Amino acid sequence: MAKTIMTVDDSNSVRQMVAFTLKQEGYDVIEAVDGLDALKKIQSAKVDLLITDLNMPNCDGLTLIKEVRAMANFKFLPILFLTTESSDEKKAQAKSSGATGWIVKPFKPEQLVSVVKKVLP
Amino acid sequence: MSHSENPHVELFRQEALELLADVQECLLLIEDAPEDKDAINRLFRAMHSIKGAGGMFGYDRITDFTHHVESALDQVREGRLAISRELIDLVLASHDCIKEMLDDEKSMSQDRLQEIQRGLESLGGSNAIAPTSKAAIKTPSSGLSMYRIRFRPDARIFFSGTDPMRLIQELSEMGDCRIVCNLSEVPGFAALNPELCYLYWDIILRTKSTLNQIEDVFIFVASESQIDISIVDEEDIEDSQYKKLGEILVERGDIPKENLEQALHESETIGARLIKKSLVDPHKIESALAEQEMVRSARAKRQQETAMASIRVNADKLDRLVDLVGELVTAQARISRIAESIRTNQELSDVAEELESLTTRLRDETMGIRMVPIGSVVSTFRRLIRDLAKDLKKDIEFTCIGEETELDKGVIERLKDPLVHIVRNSTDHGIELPEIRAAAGKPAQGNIRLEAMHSGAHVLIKITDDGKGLDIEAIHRKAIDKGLVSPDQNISENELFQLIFAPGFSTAEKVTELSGRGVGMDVVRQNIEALRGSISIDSAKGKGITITLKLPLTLAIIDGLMVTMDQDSFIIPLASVEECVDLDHQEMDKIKGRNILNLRGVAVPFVRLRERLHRTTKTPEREQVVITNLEGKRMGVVVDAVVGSHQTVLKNLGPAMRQARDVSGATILGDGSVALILDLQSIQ
Repeated sequence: MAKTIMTVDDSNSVRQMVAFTLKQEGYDVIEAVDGLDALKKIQSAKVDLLITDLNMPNCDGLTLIKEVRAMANFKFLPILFLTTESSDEKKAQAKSSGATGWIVKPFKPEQLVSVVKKVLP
Repeated sequence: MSHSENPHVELFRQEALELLADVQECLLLIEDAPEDKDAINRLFRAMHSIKGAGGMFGYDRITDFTHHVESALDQVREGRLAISRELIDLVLASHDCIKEMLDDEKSMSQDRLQEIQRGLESLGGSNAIAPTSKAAIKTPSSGLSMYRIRFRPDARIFFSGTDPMRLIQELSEMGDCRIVCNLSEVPGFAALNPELCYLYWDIILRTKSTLNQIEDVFIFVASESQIDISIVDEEDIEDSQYKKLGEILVERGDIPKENLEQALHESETIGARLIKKSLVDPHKIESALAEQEMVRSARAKRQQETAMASIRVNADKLDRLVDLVGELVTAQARISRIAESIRTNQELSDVAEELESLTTRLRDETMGIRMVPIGSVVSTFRRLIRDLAKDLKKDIEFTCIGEETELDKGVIERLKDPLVHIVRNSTDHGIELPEIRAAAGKPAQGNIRLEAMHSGAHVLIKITDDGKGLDIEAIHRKAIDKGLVSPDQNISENELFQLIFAPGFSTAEKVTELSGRGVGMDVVRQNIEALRGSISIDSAKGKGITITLKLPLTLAIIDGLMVTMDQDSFIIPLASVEECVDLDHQEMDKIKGRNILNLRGVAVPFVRLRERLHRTTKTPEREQVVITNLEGKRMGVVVDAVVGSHQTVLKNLGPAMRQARDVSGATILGDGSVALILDLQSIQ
């Protein structure tokens, strides 16, 4: 069965591009526009991987990661975050919130796919 | 760059315009109320989003430029840069530039952008660090290196959503790998927390990848986990010896030097002594021994390679060896049959099974010895083309890719004539004279390229020229003249091309002027098919021709599927078999004599072997169909029963049988009887 990936981003174009790329690779994709939306949708979904932006209005990426990681279902869920800076500080913050890895923006579709394949069993 | 055709790009443009509108609004708000934190944050986020998304949709200049603006705004956000009229003017100017670049990125003047950047810098928003490149540039190193990697994940690694096994698997895909898992820290059952990781791994990896690439595997876990990577061996080290076990352990920091020296004074093996004294746990010894063994064997192999790169053997000897292996395969098949019939004897079954696997390996090794690189034939072409081109006053360059691709010696020998024919045709008829080429706007020098590559159990050879190509209309007319196609028949371009292989098609006198191809393409095809290969052609008028040959790797032994019909056995080449299904007689009644099978909703034509071979015996109650696939065309062959896979030693039919249709050879079965090998191409 196809794996399901949730992509969370307030930018419609980035979300579309991520969703489009992943669907082409055969994944099912659930989209969410920000952290709140993601938290609402993830409750009832079977998600195998979460990809989230960090900078978002209403509930940002860091908060989302912490909240999701605290749910019993998603204790071990792979979580990737998108970041523009390769700033280690942000990465460390996100990692300690429970993220698995990151993708540096801007990225090309192939880079996205290779990172997804790296963390998705 | 034109972005308009991509819907995602258009979406980004729309979104960027909305964000820019937001930028402008925020700027005006801030101008009135510089302490409005919300507006400043919104402003920053908008710039940030434009920058982040821009690069993904090909707007690299926007991304670069926005980065500087964003850095300045970041400082504002953190209170390190005060809001001033100049700042707001500059950001407004940036807004305008970005907007213009969204319409046309190329024509934006670099000076204007730089002026804004300098302005921002002079305000103090200068320390913009250039966006770091996405990934370290990976330069593949030339040779193989051996790495020692110790990966000791953080105990809580699972809680970051990381599966350490994935990382180990990723490593093992990079090359030859020995992995030793260390269990010494796993606690007793009562104390074990299944959500923690107690294991760690020592990995010895022999790979072409660079240190950087290996580090990239661990990029997400590098900060919490302990990862030590060191190079233990490189290609240019010639010594076949390697460090002693004790040295490796000390180097790894697994034991202190004093302990080693102490242990060395006794006489058992060093490993056993260290374990006995519990100076080091057995897993560490095991891991160090694995490293030692891998490095030693890699070095020994290299030495051997340099010492004895090759030996010359008479080709006859090789042929005899292959014959003998063939006989061995046949004899082994008998043993397997006997073992199967006496099922009660487990010991016999075991031996038969082992014998089978050994024979298969021996077969593959022997076939490997007969493999010859195709370059050995190709070298003669250079001369041929050069001489021909000189006579014809043409300028032709010949390039060859994949000269090292190997094929069975027998195949290569019989491939030479057809290849010469094709190359000669390209030189003679394909490539035009330099002045004609120049007039057609092509480079005066023509090009003939030969490419060889592996593709599954086959080798593909492509011969491409950039000459005048095939004249499709002329071929069509010709085919109609010859009665090969009817004038109103709907025929694809590809099918028309294949017609030049039809017997007699190209031998007509008009051929050279209509197609530019010389005589005998049908002979070429026969030769290739005799090698159990196939040939196809593709061309565009004025652009040139590509001829593709598909050849089996070997001629001597193939994997076959054994079937029976009318008490006789037949072999179908397994490479062409898709599946076997039962023939449903009720279903047959419905289609009433039309030989079409309904295979899960797809219509597949079939041939009854019994009818095809004119056997008059009665059809049995149950029949089976072998679904074959020959270059995309499926066909069912109806037989009495499918027996199973069979290693088939090919024997040619004698000259008297050369004309036999539908069979391409024969093989001797385990019980001494003969099975014919079906020629699917002819049956189809």
